[in-house]
Parts: sequence; structure tokens; C-alpha cells
Amino acid sequence: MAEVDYAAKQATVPGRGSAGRVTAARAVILIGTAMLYGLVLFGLSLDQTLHFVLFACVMGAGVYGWTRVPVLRTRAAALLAQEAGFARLCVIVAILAYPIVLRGNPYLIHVAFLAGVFALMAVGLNFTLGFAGLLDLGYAAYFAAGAYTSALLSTVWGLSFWLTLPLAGLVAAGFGFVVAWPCLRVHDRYLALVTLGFGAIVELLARNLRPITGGTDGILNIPPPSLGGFSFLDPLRLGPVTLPFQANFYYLTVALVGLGVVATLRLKNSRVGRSWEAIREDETAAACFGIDLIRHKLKAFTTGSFFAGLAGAVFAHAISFIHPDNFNFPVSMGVLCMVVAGGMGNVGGVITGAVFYVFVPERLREFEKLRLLLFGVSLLLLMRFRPSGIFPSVRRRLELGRDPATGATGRQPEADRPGLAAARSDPSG
Amino acid sequence: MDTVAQQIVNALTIGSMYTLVGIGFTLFFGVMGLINFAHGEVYMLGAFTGLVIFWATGPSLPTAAVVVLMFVGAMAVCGGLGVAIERVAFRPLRRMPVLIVLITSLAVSIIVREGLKEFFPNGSNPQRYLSPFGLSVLRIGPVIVTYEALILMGLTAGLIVTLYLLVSRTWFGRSMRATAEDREAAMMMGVDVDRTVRQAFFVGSALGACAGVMNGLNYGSVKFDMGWTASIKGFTSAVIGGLGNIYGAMVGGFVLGFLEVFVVDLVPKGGQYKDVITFVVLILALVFRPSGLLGPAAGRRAG
Amino acid sequence: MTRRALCACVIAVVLGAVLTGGLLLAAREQTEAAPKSCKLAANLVLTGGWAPFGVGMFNSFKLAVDQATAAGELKDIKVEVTRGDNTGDTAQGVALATKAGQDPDVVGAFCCWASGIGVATHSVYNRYGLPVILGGSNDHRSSRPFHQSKVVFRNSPYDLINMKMAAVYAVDVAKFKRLYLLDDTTPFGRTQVDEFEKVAKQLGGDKIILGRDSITPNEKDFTPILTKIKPLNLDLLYLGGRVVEASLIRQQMVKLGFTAPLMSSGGVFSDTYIQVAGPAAEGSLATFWGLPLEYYPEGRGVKFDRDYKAAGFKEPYESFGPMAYAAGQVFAQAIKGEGCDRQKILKNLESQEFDTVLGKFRFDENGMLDILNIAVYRVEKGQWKILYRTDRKATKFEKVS
Repeated sequence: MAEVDYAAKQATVPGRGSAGRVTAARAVILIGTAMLYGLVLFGLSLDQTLHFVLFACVMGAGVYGWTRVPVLRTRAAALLAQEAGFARLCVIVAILAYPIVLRGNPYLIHVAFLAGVFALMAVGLNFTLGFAGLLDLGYAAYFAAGAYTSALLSTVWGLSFWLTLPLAGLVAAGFGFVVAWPCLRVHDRYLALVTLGFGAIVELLARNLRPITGGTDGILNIPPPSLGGFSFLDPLRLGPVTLPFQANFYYLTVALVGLGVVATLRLKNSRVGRSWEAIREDETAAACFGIDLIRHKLKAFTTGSFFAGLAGAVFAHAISFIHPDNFNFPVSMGVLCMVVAGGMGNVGGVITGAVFYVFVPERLREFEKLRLLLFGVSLLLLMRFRPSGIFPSVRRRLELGRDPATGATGRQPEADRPGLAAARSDPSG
Repeated sequence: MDTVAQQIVNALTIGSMYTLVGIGFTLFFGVMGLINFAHGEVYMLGAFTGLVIFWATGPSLPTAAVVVLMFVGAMAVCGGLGVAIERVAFRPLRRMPVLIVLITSLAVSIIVREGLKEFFPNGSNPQRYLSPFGLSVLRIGPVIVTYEALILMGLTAGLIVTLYLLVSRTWFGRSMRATAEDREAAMMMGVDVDRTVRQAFFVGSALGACAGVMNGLNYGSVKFDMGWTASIKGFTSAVIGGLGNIYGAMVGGFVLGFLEVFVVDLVPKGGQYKDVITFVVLILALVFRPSGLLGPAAGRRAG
Repeated sequence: MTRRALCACVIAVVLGAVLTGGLLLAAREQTEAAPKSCKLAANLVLTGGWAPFGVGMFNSFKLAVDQATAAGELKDIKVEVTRGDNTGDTAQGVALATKAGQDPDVVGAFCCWASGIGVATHSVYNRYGLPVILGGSNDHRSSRPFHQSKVVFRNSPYDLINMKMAAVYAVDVAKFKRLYLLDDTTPFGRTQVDEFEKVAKQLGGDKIILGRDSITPNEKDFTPILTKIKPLNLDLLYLGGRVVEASLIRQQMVKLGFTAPLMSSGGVFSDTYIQVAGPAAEGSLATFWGLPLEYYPEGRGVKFDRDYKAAGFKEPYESFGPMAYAAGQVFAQAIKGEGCDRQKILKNLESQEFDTVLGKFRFDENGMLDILNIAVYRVEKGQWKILYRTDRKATKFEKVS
């Protein structure tokens, strides 16, 4: 936030904080949000892939132009800093209004729901990876744990979804604990391997333990959640408007993601959060400062996996059928990419990453054969040119990208300093 | 008794295959500290390059020449490709944290695999690899050994020896070891780290390509997604034996091969549980002995 | 407020209004569609491992519909076939089914290839009252009467029937006495083998199955498991799986000195199997729910083959092409009478008799077509040759000379 405050100070005319100014600022934010919202929805409704690609190019050019004009950025930053609360309110309203606006298109609501599930996972992994810097390559295992727990509890024991949801989260957190515990002393590359192996084992177990998980048949007929007499498969009546049933799942997911965001923000500035970031930066130094590495790493893992468990439960009850293929390595890597590409540590960034990850392939269906290829290429380009992610946290950007004020990179290019002992070594060494 | 003897031969064959792939992974991890997801795809590309060479020269040249050309050609092409990948994807990220490099290697692997699937004729189906030996096999008593398996085992042994010599007796080998141990110190000692890394990529990729061609010849078919399965097995071998240690890849490969074969043979429904057991072993190895059975090459500690 | 700020505000308001208006228009689905124009939504595996089958099916389906339009059979109704790739993933299959269901222009669907997707989507299609014909989707749980979604129809028999006849052939007709079973742990492979095992034991006693195990997909070296079962002196090795593994298993069987043949079903019945397995493929057996094209009545099969090639598709139609073509013909004929109305098309599917490449048939009360052509093929001289075929109700085999 430091950068934004600084810019805000520059842009605000001192001494003119009148009510009129506030209203004007709010009006601009409101209109800006509405415009962006309109653009997004317009883009979504483009059925033809070609149109969508054109649209994306125009948007991309717009964003690029925006970043090139510093006045616009600082002004916007100032505005957002001033009326941060109002801006957030606008965003929340926009998110809540989505199914209402798109009530004629349950398919898009369903896709948004899927994005929400992934966003929930991204928020979870953000704790483990974004904050604490722990490389978890088998995140899908906790997703699976949550999904199967919730599915089994409700199909075999008839428990209500509202009970199985937190239980799923807890079981997944338990899995996270079990994975983390042996690995605590181990170097991060080995942690990556262990989590990778663990993810693979969980998938294999799901595939093979037929009496429990249904094996490759999966679990069918998972009942939808219900509140009182209202089943989530019934359309949602909100006063004069009726929304298709997919909206129910959408709102559920939004609520959970909101929970995740609140948790993120609170933890970020708490002692735990700061300890995590210290651990991420330099474990040895953190230990020297008295941070209990083991406890904090365990906390990071279990918090992260808890959210994956929640996501799994929601997914299971919404699709009503789960299968080991839903929990394989590409899912783990997908969530990982969302977090890294979206901007590690920045909860808004990772949610955006998740949204892109789900929506873009849906819209590019015509390029279905090249879909993965394009994904690989964009990932490569992103890592090469903007490794800090699309919306990185400020610290991350300073770490990996260009300093916003001076334009210099945070890292010294190796070639400039041959043989100098002062050059920072590869932190993985 | 016959079955046991045959299974031993099977295990040696499978183990050799895993070793061949594992060496590449161990090389990348040891020298450059990277978990290189793209290596499996280079292996796959090697197999396909060999296939193309076969299509191009098969009718016109004698069999032995074709086979040699397949190997040499695939190794040369993929070695070069490895260097190109290093230049494009990994060099700019030299300073970045492991995670970014990991994702980059993943992106490269996706690109290579999907690219081949798309642009190779009939890419999504398995392709036939014609072996000069066809269906004929060698019978030693009750045990059946395919000629291709013999070549595989010989090749593996030969490569291990060659690599050993390369790493311990040549300037290149010494540079690699120095870079692996401490990059800055190596630079201070006058080692051209950039060139060493490039060369290591060349060697590693060439090895992968060689393994790919061998796999094609031994099993008679190649498919665009063969890289992924091979990666897991090869990588597991390298880890079990000790990442960064070339002998480790060999030990790991054979341990894995024997483990798999005897699980299938002795455990009821072993075929089904083989993979689960493999991964459990991997996890146990990582948890209780992360540096592997033989330990890493000097300098890389696990904890 | 400065003048600049005022201008900015005005521009923003205008743009906002325009865009909001645009989005409201766009968000409303095509309401003003030309009255006589509808869509058929395909939901198939078009990328990934099974893609060749899915693409062949899509092309064939589309060909049938396009031909009907061109021949003027649909009068002035325009029918468009939309492409949908579920990549074999259930979540995507459900998303596509939802998309089709909610779109009032879509009056029929052709789904899914992957059985799991059939199981997951039938309730979605049923909810929207969208008639769907299943292509592939072997698993009986994707069909009636194993669920109650009235909109689901099949243009090929499901696994219980196929495997029953496969076991009947193996035990009663070919009189194999020592069998071993392998499945590839996928639902497709496993349900096949489950059913085969059950019927084989019913017909030949428990002792006839000497054992059963699994292999993993994408595995290459099957010598350990083959070595393990070699001492059993089998008459037949039955595999529930697909071409990739089957061709390798067959090669390794031959190299290890097995005399028994390998038998499998639709997943293996493809030229790729013969290509990859090479000379080792000789003697392999497969059951398939389809006949060689020459066997379809009135040369329709041959005509289909010619038409497909003339249409210039890059990909072959593979073994399910004719069934997919039939599905397209069914929809064309169902629409012809009634126009673009889901309810009416559903009624037609239930009651009409259809005249297709497979012959004339109706759908029975469980949505299954009433021509059940199951045949046994064997690889002879590098080609699949038909040995036996069943009668129309698939109760017994007749030898084909």
C-alpha cells in the first residue's frame, strides 16, 4: 500500500476535501465499475471466438495504454485510496449482481461458479505458497479429500451438506497436516517432490480403493444442499426476479471465497501472516528471530488445505458426481499457475488468475485443439516477461519485476557482475 | 523357478529403461538445481525424431546404419533443442526462485507435447516403431530375452560408464561439478558457467533423446504423451537413488524396476497396486532419506 | 470541478450507458431467432486420447444432418450442428450440457463418448427436456432403465449386452476353457470385464476364469504380468482396455511365447491396433456392436463410406462413424415432421420408425434402438474379418461365411 499512499499524496490537492469532491470521486468510481462490468459481460456474451479474440486484443491494448500513462494510474490510485471502502462496495455489488444480470444464461453462471471453486482453491494455496512460500505441488490431494469426505458423508450417512462442508475442510486440513509434518525440516525442492508424490498417491488411492471411493466409477448421486425446504436445485426467487438454480451455487461459492478473502486480509497483517512472510523470505533469518518454523509451516499448510477441502465439498455437491480424474496433477498445476500467474500473495490477483483460467478456455472453444498449446505459450511468456504475476503484491513486484518508481529491476543481471562475491546467488542453492 | 528367472530379466530391462531416463533428470537437478519438467518431452521428441529419420532413410540404407543414424540424429537434434530451450526459457530466469523456473519448465513441456500432437501427422495416435528384430527373440534356456532388451541394457551400461568418464576425467565434467557445488566460486575460478550450463543441457537432452529412441525400439510404439509417464518413473528413480548422483539414477532405476516387477508377480492383484506402492516408496524415501540411497553429488544437501 | 473532469465524466457516462445497453442486449439470448432454425448440440471428446473416435463421430453426425438439409428433406428448416468438446472431463461435459439445455434454439443433443459424462449429464439434459442420443457411452448406468431420464436414447447397445455376447462367444461358441482377465482400471475397461466375468462364470462355471488383474493405462511394459500368467497355459486372454495398451500387450505376449489369442472389444477394434501391433496382431479377437459396412442393408453402409470420403474430412470416421451418422439421420427425420420443438421431437423419438444406414429401427421403451448388431471379428492377414454376428435381438450367434 506504500506506493499507493505516496502516489495518493501527490495527486490529491491539499485542503480541498469537500463533500462535493467526495461525491465526484464516488461517481467516477461507480461509473468506472459499471463500465468495466459492462465490458466484461459484453466480452462474455460474445459467442464467436473470433469476436472474443478481437475484444481481448482491444482490451489488452487498452490496459497496456493505461499502464503507459502514469497520470491515469496515479490518479486512479489516488481515487481508490481515497474511496477504498466505496470501491470495494462497488465490486461486491457487481459480483452479487452477476447472476441477476445474466439470469437468461445459466451456462455463464455455471462457468462463474466453476471459476469460484478454483478461486477458493487459489485463495487457499495463496496461504501456503503466496504467504509462506512453501512449494505445494500436490494441492489437488486436499481438494480430493474434501470432495470425497463430503460426498461419502452425505451419500452413505445422509449428513446434511452444512455439516459435511466444514468437516470436509477439516479432513482436508488434516491431510495437509499429515503431508507437512514429515517435510518440515526439508529443503524446499524436496518439499516440492514430497507434495508431488503425495498428490499422486491420493489420486491413485482414489482410483484404487473401490470400496471407499468407488474407484474409477467415482461417487454418483451426491445430493445437492438444501436449506429448510429449499433445495439448491430449485430456481432462486429474489423478489420480482427468478434466477436459475446455478445461481444458488454461485452465491454459495462467492460467500466462501469472501470468507477466504477476509481470512487472508486479517492474517496478512497479523503476527502469523508476518511470520509467514518472514519464513518465505529467509528461513534461517526467521528462525534467528525466534519464529517457530514448525508451527508456522504447519499452520500455513493446514489453512491452505482447509480451503481446498471446502472447494472440494462444494464441487462435489454441485456436479453431483466426482471421479478421480477431477483430482489429478493438471489440477494441482492449474491452481499453482493461478497463484503464481495471478500474483503471489495478492488475494485479488489470485482470484483474477482463477477467473481467467476458467473463463478464457471456455470462450476460446473454437481453438479447442490449440487450447493447451496456447496456455503453455502464454504461461511461458508470462514467466519470462512478468514473473511477478498479473497483479502482484507490491513486495512481489519489487522482488521480481521493475521498481514502480525508478524502473530498475530488483535483481542485478548476472552479466554485469562477473565473479563478484556480492552478487546474490540463486536462492535455491 | 522359470518365472523368477524371466522376471529378473524383465526387471533388468525395465530398470535399464528407467535408469536411462533418470540420468537426464539427475543431471539437470544436480548441475542446475532444476526440476526440469520439459525433459520428459525432449525424450519424447527424441523418439519421434528417430521415427522421422527412420521414415526418411529406412528404405535406402542398411538396417544397422539406419539404427545408428536414428540414435545419433535424435541425440544431435534434441541436444540442440535442449540448448535452445535453455537459451529461450531458462537463461533469462537464472536469478528467479525455483517456483518460477518450475512453472517455466512446465510451460515448455506443455508447448512441446501439444505442439507435437497438433503438428505431427496423426499425432494423437500411437506410431509404429519398426525394430530390425521384429518378433524374434533370444532363448536362453527357459528365459526369453528380446534383442532390443539386450541392446538397451548394453546401452545403459555404456552410457553410465561414459558419463562417469565424462564427469570425472574431462574438463567439462569438472566444470559441471564445480558449477553444481557452488556457482559463484566456480565463476571466480574461471569456469565459464554459461557455457557449462549450455553443455549440460546438451548432454542431458541428448541422453533423453537416446532413451526415447531406445524406448521406441524396445516397445515398438511411441505416442505423444509418452514423456509424462516416463518422467514420473525416471524422476522417481533419480530421487530414490539420490538426485544429482549419476550412479544414484542407476541404483534407483533398478530398485524401482525390481520393485515393480516383484510387486506384480507376488502381490495378488499386483498389477493394480503397482503404482500406488511405487509412490509410497517414493514418499518414504523422500521423507526418511531425502538425499537418496547414495546421497547427492557433493555440495547439494537435502536439509 | 474542472472542465476536464466534467468532460471525462460525461464521456464516462455516455460510454457506460452504451456499454450497459449493449450488455443487456447481448445478455438476452437470441430471442429473435428465425422461426425455422434450430441447433443440434454435440458434446463429444474432440481432443485428447479418444479424440479420433470423437471427431469421426462428430463428422459423421454432421454429415447426416447436412445431407438431409441439402436433399431438401427438412423443407425450410435450417439445422445447425454445434461443436462441443468435453475433452473427456465430466465438469466440462456438464457445462456443455447446461449450455445446450438452456439455449432454446437447441432441440437435440448428441453426447458423450465417455461413459462418465453420460452418467453425469443425463439429469442435466432431462431437466431441460432436451432429447439426447448417446454415442459411445458404453456404461449401462448412463442409459435407461438404470436411470429415469426420459430424454436419453441410445444408438448402440450398452456394455451388459455387449459383454454378455462376448462371453457367450468365448465360452459357448469358441469353447475356450482357460481364461484370464485383465482390465485397465478405467470404468470402461472394468465394467466390461466385470460383466464378461459374470456371464462367463454363469455359462462355464467358476473354474473357467483362472484369474484377474489390472494394468495401468499409459504403461508400456507388461512383461511382468504376462510372465506371471504364462504358466497358466491359457486358451484366451481377455482385455478390457484400449488400443494403446492392447497393441503392446499383444506384441509382448507373442514375444514371450503365448499361444493364446487376445480378445477385447470396441476400444480395440480399430486399424491402429493392427498397425501398431504389426504381425503380432494376427489372431486377435474383438467383439463390436457394428457390422462391416457391406453388411448394412441396401448398400447403405457402402454409400455412407463413399459420402464421407467425398465430403473431404481430414479424419477417418473410425468404428463409431456409422452409428453417429444414424443418429444424425434420426434427428433429421424427427425434426422433419415437427419443426423445431423439443417436446415434439421427443415424442417422435419415442414413437417414430427411423430409416437409417443401420437399417430401419425404433427406440424401445428404454430408449435403446431395436437393432442390436453385435459381431465377433478376428484379425486375419492384417485385417479385421467378421466371424460371427448376432441376430437382431442379440440372443445368439450365427456364423458368417
